[in-house]
Amino acid sequence: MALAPHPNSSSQVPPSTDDVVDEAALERVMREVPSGALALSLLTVGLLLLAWFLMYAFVFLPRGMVG
Amino acid sequence: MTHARRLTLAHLWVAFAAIAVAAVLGVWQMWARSPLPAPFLTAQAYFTSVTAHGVSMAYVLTTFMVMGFGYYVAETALGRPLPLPRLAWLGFALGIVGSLMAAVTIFAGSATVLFTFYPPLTASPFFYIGLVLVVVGSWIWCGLMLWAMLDFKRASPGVPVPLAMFATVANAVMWLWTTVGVAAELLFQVIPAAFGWNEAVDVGLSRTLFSWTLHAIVYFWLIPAYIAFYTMAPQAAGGRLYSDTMGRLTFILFLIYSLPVGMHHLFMDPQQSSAFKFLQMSFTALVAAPTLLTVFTISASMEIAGRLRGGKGYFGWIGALPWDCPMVLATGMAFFMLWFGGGGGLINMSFGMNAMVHNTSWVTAHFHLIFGGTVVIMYFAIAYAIWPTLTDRTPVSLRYQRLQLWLWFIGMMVMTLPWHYLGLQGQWRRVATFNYSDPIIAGWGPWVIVSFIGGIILLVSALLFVWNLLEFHRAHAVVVTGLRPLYALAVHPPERVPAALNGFALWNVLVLILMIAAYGYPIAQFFIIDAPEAIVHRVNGRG
Amino acid sequence: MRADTEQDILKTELWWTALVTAVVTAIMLAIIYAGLVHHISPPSNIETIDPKTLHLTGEFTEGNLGTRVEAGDQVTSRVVATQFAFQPQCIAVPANRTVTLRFATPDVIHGILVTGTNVNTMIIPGYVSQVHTVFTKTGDLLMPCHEFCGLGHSQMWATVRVVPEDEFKPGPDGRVSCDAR
Repeated sequence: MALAPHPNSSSQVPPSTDDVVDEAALERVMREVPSGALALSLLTVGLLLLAWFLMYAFVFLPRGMVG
Repeated sequence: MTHARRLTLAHLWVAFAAIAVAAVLGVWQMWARSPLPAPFLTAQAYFTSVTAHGVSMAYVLTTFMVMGFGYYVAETALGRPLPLPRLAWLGFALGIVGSLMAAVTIFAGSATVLFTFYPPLTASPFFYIGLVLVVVGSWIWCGLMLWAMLDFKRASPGVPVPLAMFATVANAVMWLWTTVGVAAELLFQVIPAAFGWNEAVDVGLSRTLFSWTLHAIVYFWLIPAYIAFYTMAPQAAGGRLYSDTMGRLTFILFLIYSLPVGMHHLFMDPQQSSAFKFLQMSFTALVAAPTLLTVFTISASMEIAGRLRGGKGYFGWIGALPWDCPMVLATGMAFFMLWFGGGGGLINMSFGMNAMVHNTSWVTAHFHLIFGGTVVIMYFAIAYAIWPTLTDRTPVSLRYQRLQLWLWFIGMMVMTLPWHYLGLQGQWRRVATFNYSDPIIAGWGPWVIVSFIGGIILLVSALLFVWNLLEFHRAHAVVVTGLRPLYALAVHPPERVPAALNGFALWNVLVLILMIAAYGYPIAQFFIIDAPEAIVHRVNGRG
Repeated sequence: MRADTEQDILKTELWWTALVTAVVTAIMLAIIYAGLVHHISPPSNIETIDPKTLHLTGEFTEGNLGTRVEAGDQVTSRVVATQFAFQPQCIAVPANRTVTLRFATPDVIHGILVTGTNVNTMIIPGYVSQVHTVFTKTGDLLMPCHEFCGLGHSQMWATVRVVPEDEFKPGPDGRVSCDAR
């Protein structure tokens, strides 16, 4: 992580000010984003749902009726 | 940074001193619960420790961290001096006095009621007054955050409030709503009982009022971590925030859905009907949404950074991220722990399934992992990220920051995973010593010891964290000037946002409607039905 | 000019939101199914009782505690939770029959779970907690107090003795105790 002084950036400053990201590179990269995020999110949320159902079917339901 | 520097440092040092003390107590508690003989172990000592540990971690660490970080964001994100800094120092003073008052009563043995202080067990009135002072101090902070945002909007009409500040104010608004429950419980029920003005307390009402606060408070703690996810991690990784709009929506969803859900802490209680339990469970399912949205948005933001660094394919961008940066490392660890902690939370929320886990070590595991893990590791990362701008110094190497984060992550996983298992086996909560000669309990012993080792690793990490911060103040630290605080830019930084995404008037109305629907009758019923009251039981070193 | 405009980004986020909603809905449906079809729900009975007098008259007097088979072959087990013991400390229940557990307390908040089952309820002074269940495995189960109730909390627990149906024989007054084995 760079600690050298940077100009102040905040989310309302238009992108034309100095920031670490090169415009052309960002545009190139945005053609693939968010395929990686989707892959990771689908995988992790899918595993989460699976884990929930395993707990539901193999621990919860077998413990029997109560109410 | 005009006023925030000293305010933020003051608040954060208090917060981190609280972690260090609480970590020592926590390790001793784990020793006490294990089959290994622990020193100084009496029931009084144990429950005093649990009360102190809970109050330090749940009320002191958190409130001071949120306040200190809020002052920092208010000045650096808005680029304006904090309005009314004297009031901020008053809030700080109230917090200190309140914390000390509570601490004295706890260590004197007249407040062994745990951080949840369920009546009719009743502590010294000064315990509760101490907590009230901390809350009042935080209300001053809320007012200042709102004022700072309104000031900014007046000075720059039409300019979107920077996301970090928008989120901070969302948190402040949510906190004002949140504290109503516990404030009502304390002012109208518990403190009068503690002073002896009432001999009996309506426990159904007090538990319901406390539940109002008990869930939303965890979002009060969590939002700074999410502010770091949205506005600091993408910058640290060298990328962009995928969507500023989704950021705003996330914090709005937290504001709306953190509050009408507290009854999921009361699923097993006999004073509320299934109908309202189900309604609040449905709202709880909705509050899962902002987290699931965050998983995607932050992944996409980090993916931008990873691909800019040459990462390819569906997952190559992950390896390409600058993991040597503590903020990036902490974010990765936070999300990993979020899978377990959030998953556990989904189980807790799942109505009938709550019966498998209520008041077992599973619950203890859940909140240590999600709060102590995901949230607190981001508190560490935030501290490491802002300390250079607070002190104009940096340490020679970031290696010990990374080591500290790894120790925290490993310690938290090792401590909490066995607790999940033990909870399902039926290990119940808030026990000073277990009877390990019972055949069912004997089997738990080895796992309790594993968990204890996790706790020891966490203590080492907590002490290393304090050491790492002290490193900034030492003579051999590198002096840097002209550092400016950095917040992530969005892929498409907004030039204008709709009023609904730039303020909270509409959302406050929605919160009011949801709270009336969720808590209206559940609270009103105690004034309609004739529920007998419970006799006040004072705790005074005699139990 | 971006390849991905803000519109595209929001559209993608919307797809993800739809997916998230589907996941949460699936969970909700499973929960409703468990509630309606498997009859697993949180306690739903709201019934008040005066903590100051419950030991003197009515249902929770000492002589009436423990397991009793009542009219219509209904098995009901009554337990009082106090600082720091359950009365009685052992209850006998039959396997494979519906059992109704009823709890009350004259003092502070307690709670119970029964290990290996879905039986879990808080015990709040002012209220009767009621849970219906069917025990399927025979043997001794642990029923600890799981909510902090004071310094003696760590030593507060009871036993639920699940007895095979053919061994579950009520006495002439309908009562079944743990000792009669």
